[in-house]
Amino acid sequence: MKNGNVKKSNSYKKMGLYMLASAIGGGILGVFSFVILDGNIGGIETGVSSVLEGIRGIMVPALAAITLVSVVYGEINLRKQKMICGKVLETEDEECDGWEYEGEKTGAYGTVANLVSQVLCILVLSVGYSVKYIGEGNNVNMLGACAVFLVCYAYDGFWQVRYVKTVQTAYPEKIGDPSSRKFHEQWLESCDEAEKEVIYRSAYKSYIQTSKAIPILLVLVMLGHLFFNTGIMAIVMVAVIWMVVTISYLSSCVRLKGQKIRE
Amino acid sequence: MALLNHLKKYRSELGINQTELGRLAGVSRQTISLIERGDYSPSVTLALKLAKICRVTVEDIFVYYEEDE
Repeated sequence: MKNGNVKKSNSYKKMGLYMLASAIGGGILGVFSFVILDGNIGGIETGVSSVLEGIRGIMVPALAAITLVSVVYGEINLRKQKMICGKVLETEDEECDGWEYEGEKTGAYGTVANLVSQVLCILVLSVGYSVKYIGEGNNVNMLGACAVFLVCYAYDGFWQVRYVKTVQTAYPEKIGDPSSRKFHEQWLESCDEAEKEVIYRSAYKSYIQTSKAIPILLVLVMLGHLFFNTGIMAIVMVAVIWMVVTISYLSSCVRLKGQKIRE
Repeated sequence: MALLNHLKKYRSELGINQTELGRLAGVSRQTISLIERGDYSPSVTLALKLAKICRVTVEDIFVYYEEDE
């Protein structure tokens, strides 16, 4: 009981100190940002505008280059994945462990590359994604960019389906149609207890990482709005994501506990 | 506290590989590998299933001990 009390008071003290340190850090960051940016805001805005203008000028070739890199890497990755799946089927026990680990790594690299290419495409396209830009006689350029963007997006989408189907050749017990909206549920259902534990632990870790990253992003978008008038939309979006992540996690916990009690 | 296990020994006595044992127990080969390496403690159900397949008791396969023992 005594130990519990001591821990409790330490927690309050620690939390108070964290809050104080964050407030001081925030204040210093704000003052420094003001000192550094004040007088340079115009210059930075001009610089950013010229960079965006430059990207607008090469939007189609930039998107084409991202698509090309995505296709080349995607094909190399899938080829390697197929080879590994073959080895998984051929080998046994400890040797198979090594190949499965290689497969996990290769799959992760491929998925990250796939995601990066999609994000880059969206970023490049969004540079010219405005009625004002299109209205200035850039409709053909924008149409071309949209076409390349769709090609890249379609390839990335089909790559994901091919990746899942490749994995399913080595693990036929893993069910789930990658084009189905219920794919994740079906996949989880076909996993055994140890695999589910890995998924649950990874999901919890990703929840923690997201909860850490969101406040930092919120500070960044608020600073962006403060100095560069980037708009309140970004702040609202990050705040909404924060609420969705936290509420969905908590509601899932409550629902699962409720189910256990009712069973 | 930790869990030691002799699953690999009993599996070898049966003359089957991890894939085959996994199939008999209704789990993946990876799960059998994780258990054998001591990286995963199976559920009671799975432990009982494995013991039944190996025709021994759960205590023959899994040995519980405290860290300071």
